[in-house]
Amino acid sequence: MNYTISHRTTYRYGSDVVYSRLVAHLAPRTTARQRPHTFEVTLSPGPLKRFARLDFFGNTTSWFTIDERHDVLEILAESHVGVEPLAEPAPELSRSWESVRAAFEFPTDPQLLEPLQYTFDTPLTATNDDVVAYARQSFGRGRPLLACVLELNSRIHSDFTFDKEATDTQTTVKEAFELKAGVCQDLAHVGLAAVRTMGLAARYVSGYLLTHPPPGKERLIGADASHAWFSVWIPPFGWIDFDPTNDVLPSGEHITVAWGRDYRDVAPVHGIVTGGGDHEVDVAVDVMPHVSA
Amino acid sequence: MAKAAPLFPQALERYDELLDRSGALRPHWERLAASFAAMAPEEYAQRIDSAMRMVRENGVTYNVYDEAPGLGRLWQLDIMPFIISPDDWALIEAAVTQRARLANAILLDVYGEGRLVRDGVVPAQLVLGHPQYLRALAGVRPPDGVHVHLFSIDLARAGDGSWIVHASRADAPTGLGYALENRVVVSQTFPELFGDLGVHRLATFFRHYRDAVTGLCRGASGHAVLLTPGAYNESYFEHAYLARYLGLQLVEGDDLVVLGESVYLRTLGGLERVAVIFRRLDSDFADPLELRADSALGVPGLVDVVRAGNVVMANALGGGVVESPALDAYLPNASRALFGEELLLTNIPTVWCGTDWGRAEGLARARRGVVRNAFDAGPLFSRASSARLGSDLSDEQIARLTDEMERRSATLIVHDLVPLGGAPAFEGGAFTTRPMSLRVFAAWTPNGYVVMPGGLARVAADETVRALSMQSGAASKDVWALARGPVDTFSLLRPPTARVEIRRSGNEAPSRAMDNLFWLARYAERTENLIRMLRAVVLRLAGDTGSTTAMNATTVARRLLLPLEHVTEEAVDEAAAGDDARLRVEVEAAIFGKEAVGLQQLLRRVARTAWIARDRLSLDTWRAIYALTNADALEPLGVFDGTGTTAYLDTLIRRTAALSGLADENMTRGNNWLFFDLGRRIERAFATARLVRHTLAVASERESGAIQLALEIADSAMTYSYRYRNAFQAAPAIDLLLLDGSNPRAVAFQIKAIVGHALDLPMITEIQHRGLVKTFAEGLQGRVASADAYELAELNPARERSALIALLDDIDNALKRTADAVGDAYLRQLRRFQA
Repeated sequence: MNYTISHRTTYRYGSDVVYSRLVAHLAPRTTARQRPHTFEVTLSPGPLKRFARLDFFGNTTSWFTIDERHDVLEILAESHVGVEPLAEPAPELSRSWESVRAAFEFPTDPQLLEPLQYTFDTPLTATNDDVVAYARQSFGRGRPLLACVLELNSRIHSDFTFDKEATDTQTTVKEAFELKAGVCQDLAHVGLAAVRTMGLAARYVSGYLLTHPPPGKERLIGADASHAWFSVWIPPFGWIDFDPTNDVLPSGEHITVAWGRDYRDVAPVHGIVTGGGDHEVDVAVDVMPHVSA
Repeated sequence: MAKAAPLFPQALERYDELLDRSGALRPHWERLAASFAAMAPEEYAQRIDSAMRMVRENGVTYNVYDEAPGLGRLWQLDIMPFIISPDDWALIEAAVTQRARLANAILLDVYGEGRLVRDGVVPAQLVLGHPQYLRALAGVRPPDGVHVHLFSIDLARAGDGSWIVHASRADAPTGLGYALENRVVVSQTFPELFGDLGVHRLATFFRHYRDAVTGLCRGASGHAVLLTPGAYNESYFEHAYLARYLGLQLVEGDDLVVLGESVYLRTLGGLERVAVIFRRLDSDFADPLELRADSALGVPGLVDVVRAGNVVMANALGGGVVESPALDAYLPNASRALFGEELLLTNIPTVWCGTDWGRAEGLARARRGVVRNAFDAGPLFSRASSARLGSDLSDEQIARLTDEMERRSATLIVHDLVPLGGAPAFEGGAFTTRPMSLRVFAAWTPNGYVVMPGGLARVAADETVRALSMQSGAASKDVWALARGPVDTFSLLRPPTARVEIRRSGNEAPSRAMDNLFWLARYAERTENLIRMLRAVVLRLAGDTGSTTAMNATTVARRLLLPLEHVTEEAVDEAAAGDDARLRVEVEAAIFGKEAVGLQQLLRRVARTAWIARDRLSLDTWRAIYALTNADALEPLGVFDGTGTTAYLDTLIRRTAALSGLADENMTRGNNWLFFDLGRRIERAFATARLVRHTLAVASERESGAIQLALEIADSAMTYSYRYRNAFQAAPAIDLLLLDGSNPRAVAFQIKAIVGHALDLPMITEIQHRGLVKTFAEGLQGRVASADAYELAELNPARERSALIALLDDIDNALKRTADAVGDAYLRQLRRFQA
């Protein structure tokens, strides 16, 4: 399936901004199932300088400096992406979670170094007793890793309430566990923290999701949102994505933008502005499927 | 929770620094022991007193994090030096050099090729799992491949006399400034001993350090700055001290700004390029854009400048990776792999639990060792430490540890509990021993690392393991490394061969520093004014009215203190009705109350501002401020003590005068002086205008009392009576206090000074060229010059002096605009925040 995605972020400042430096993670990645065709970011006011660079995790980052005085900043990212559906992996073909963990001990295989770095806590996703107890329920002795995480994903979906008001971008896993609620970012953090606390590798994935209008209604332009889920290193398959918000394995309707250890590694736009005072942010995302490729 | 840790199990086997096995004094202690033995106990006590006075007056403090800046705990110094024999020193020097080289080589590899991990020399987890492995710096090679410009290790002597490495620092090692200050104090405390013993001098080391780092910028022009986290940091004293000593600008993150791919200093004269940053800020706080986003201390975009090679960072960002205690277990491997060398000194035996063997071994050793996070390099048992003493663990905690080991043992280490060796101390006329750790520093030079011949020794207050963190109240010692041959007595900073460029002044001063001096002067002046007003009330409350025509205490309080809310209306009304008990309590609270909005609060503000500005203040000025802000205040007793209070206020007046005098006589007429004096003049003009308003704007029943009060507060009574005898009239008083340009207390005098300063202000940036300070100040000068004292003194039918009130309004407005113009053009900075 091919998509045209537009992602518009608008900052409205209380007073003039005189200088800003921004970093954006907005360009969809190339993966085994995903081909970005075009990607473009437009800023208003236009930047003094811009360049793109791969970050440590291989994501394309876009850098901007703006030195024109402004009180409204609009960042519009437009991409055109093709995504293939996932061939559902068979849980019984994955190795036991204990053997996957043991392989990390002596990562003589250079390919293991990449997942290894996703076995550690981050300040936002630090583990605690609640997380350990929660994770343990799905990690029975000798159980194939894929089966463990599938169950974990479903449990998070049913145990956590989707609530846009409960949390913000800086909410920690500890807080999300206390609330048993949150948005896709929090649910993804819970999932990856639970996997990591068992000594396994999990990463945070940001992207988009095609939404379906209620039966009989038109698609609303700009009503979509950016989305997030988590991914687990599961030999022999490699990385497999899990979307606890919707209790599915992401397939042809999830568009991957970037991955990292947690939200902070891949925040869509972050930066430092000089001046500005208080500000409001408005985000509008539109994921438009193409009828034919 | 507050259970005391046990004595060191091996405490009895401690190596005796003073005596050998036969009980004889070791040779390098003989001279000191003889000298101490010959000293009368009082004399030793006296030397302690004078040393501590030096420490206090020099403002050597160590901030404990939850206290306000400037109120840090006094640096604890044990005046008896720790002496190291030439043989020991030779070994330590070689070992520190080796470790510094190793740390640098490891960092070069983990941020570069990654050979150590690929070849299995160092477990990948110790790099990839380390919170201080800064991914933004991966692949970035610092100038000349130097990551570690300054390095330190903490050593302690084992029972058999060997030295063991307890910790190393390669990111932003601290202690250098304290070591230097200890040396200054202790060498002055025992000058004969210091001279006789042949102690290595420290100055050369600092020169090497500074010149080697600045040399790395390859002649690229720009400032060399010392970046501090700011006045709240525990080691701020040291940052200010080092900046002065090394001749660097002391800057905070807000003083620097990245434009394009270069970093600039915000100065009075606009932005100036920075070529070298001596970094005292932890790496992960250095750039909120690419490193820790929640850092308010860093410089957004700094990593980009580093990547472009446009700044020398000393140390390079990301050095924390080699500080992890887990890595200690792999340093011998790394040394063999990188240099083919064995380490000269060993570390505390440490087990990383990330392997099968490590898990089993770690669990086996846990009970008699220390369990801690593999990446926690903080001081053992400090507040934020993850370390748990194995012997403290309950069976349940051991069970949990076992479970944690099963799941994620890569983040755990277990190390042995190694006793600290002892340092001789001299107490009550006899030698005793205190547990000691020794920090030694090495600096990179193009010809290899050089070691500071000395160091910072820290002695524990008691024998418990938790006692050694400076934050828990241990003391420090100066370290005397003895030379084999003659010592290098070089003590100046500039290399003797290089001709110093003669400079008269510069506009490179950071705006923030000038802002601090401006406000320091304003607060100091405000303090003096408040003291004079308080004293006027206290004298009258105590019954000393000075003259029969003077105003009474109640009226003075109503006129002067009530508008500033130092007393309440109720108290003044009650006093007017004959009961001044409440007024006395409130006046006393305004003077001594720690919480009240009053004198003590203002003095704290002076102390705090001075603390932040201290790299700009001479030692004598700092001492004068110390004397002013640390005068022994009486405890508010609730009983009014007129004599004691007056004496206290008189003392403070003398001390403010000392501060003003020092500023006038000793501050070089450059930007420091300019902004300091601008602050003082603006504040004094405000105060005098306010005084005239409150005493003379409305005619009172006994006008002569009001006039005398105004003259008294403005310290102009002598001049007045010399000119006019005892004829107290409004017009001459107004002339003397507002219009007379020759009276240093008059508003006209302040304005003349402000106009003069306005001509000296730098004119570089666009906003400075607008010259608003000069415009406003000259406008005011003209307004005051054309005023006529007799017209100002005229009363309207409501017995108000409307011409005077109009003039005072104009003065007030113009002063505000002048102060704002100074702020806008020179001092103020735009706030920044996360988008």
